[in-house]
Amino acid sequence: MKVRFWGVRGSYPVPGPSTNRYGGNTSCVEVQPSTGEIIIFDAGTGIRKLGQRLAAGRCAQPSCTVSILFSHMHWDHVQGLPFFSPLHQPQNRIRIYSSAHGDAHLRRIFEQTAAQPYFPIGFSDFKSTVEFVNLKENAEFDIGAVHVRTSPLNHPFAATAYRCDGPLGSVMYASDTAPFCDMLLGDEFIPAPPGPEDLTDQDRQRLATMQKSLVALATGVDLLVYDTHFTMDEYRANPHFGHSAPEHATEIALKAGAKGLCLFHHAPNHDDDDMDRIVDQARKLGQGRLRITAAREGELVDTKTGRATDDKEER
Amino acid sequence: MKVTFWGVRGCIPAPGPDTNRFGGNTPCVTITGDSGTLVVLDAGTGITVLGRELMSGPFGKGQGRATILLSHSHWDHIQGFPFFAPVYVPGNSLTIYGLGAASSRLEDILEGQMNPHFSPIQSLRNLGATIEVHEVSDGTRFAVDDLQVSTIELPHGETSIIAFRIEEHDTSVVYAPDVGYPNGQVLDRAVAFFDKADLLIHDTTYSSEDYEGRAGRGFSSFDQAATAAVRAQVRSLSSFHYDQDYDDATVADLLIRLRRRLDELGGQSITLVEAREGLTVEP
Repeated sequence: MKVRFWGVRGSYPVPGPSTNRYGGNTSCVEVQPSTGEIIIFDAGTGIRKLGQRLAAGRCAQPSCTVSILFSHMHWDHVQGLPFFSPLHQPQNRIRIYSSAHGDAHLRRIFEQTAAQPYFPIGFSDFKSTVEFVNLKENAEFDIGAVHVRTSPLNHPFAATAYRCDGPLGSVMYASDTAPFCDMLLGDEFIPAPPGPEDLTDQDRQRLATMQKSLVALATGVDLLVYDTHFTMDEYRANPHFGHSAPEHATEIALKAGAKGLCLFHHAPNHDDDDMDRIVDQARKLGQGRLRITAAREGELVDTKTGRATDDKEER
Repeated sequence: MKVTFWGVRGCIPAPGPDTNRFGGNTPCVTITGDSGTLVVLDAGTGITVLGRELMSGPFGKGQGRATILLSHSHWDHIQGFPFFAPVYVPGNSLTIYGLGAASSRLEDILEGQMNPHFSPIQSLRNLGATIEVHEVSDGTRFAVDDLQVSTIELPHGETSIIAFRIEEHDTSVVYAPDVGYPNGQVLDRAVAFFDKADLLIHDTTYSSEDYEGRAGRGFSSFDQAATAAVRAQVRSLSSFHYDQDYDDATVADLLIRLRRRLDELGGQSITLVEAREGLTVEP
């Protein structure tokens, strides 16, 4: 199993020379199971170029199903969707998986992302068939030969982690999430970092359950792609933003016995040189038991080795 | 008066090595008046770069004041606003002018972008800065300190945009992104509005070839921008809002063709400003 990173950035796209090496597009990861299913995590601006490739290739076939698994609906994870070329081809079936209060509610939320007065065309203008699949907490389902399981994340208005297991490997996508220690993020807006006294026993219990579920899901996974938006200092200043540092990601990966950890959702203020330093420091956290890399836009990574593969033929 | 380009790309940000020269950020242009008045045109992702720079001045201390003029509310013209650093500093004051919609007021449109499903900020009310929103329509006139602003409503596909003309002393700049002329014919009333501007920033989303199949989308070709500039006898024309799929080499080639087109139409005296991120001109 391989994954290709089309967008690795968090919050908003960051064009320009200082992000050329790691990439400036917002979140989008393509899973390439050996069995041929088309599975995508999130639809940040990175999905535009993936869509162009699919539209000219596999989606140009008489019928084609694309499954997009959404972590959540914050802009940096949905803003590329209307620019996904396969949506504009009649032969395609696009299945959108996410969490809301039911399939119809999910459709209504997504319809707001492409409609006047914000966007010139709407979902009814898309030529492909679009289906919405609402997921419950800790859902489990199959996409062809790929088995998918989910677990909730600690993020404002909630987010979902996905694990995909295929015949030749496994990948887990855990973006966006705060660690499970300082606060439980919910539906209300939190204007400032809370104190430890703000955490109730009920919150603590919920966080412990959430972390346990996430660690269980990550057990033995080949590649864990994890939100590491912050450095530790940045996290301490903004624990209520719903993002982690490499230290938090490493803790989960080590607990779960994951084979590889891939840093993801790079903050917009981290340029390429910052990223080099962040990855170098993070590598030391693996204690020789964990392979740590950082996601780079355009790279095709073998989940088993964590290495970027030379993919000239597959391109 | 100084004009700076922070984002010149249309529709969706286009990061990557092949857009380094002209830039991949969506629309944002600033006009700085002779006495320092700051007017921001549109709030695409280019405004995030502007915001970082402003934070080292009065905006970082909650003493900043700016006016934001929005041509319309399509994502690429407002998507940078929640990431414009000065909005989080209490004490800063932002006055927004823009077009409402038949179905909703401008303030509600901006609020919609902050909907908790899509934004952790959840509401404009959670931003620290003081934000005032005014709606404008065709023919609105107002002043921002020493700058005089006037507006015209122009077609953009099935909707419309507001183009702004900003004047200070004897200098005038017109900002007209996302203009799509019916049947590709530059409108007389648009020409009258652009008349003898020192700088006309005009939509140039498509090459003439690409425009053919996309005429209904509400954008202009490079050739149409040249026609508008020559007919309005402007002093300089700036290209703007490049299609997201045009890499640097493509844009550079289209700009060579634009210069040639201006000359063919008798606009040899018109200076061509090749809009790119980071460029500052004095019109």
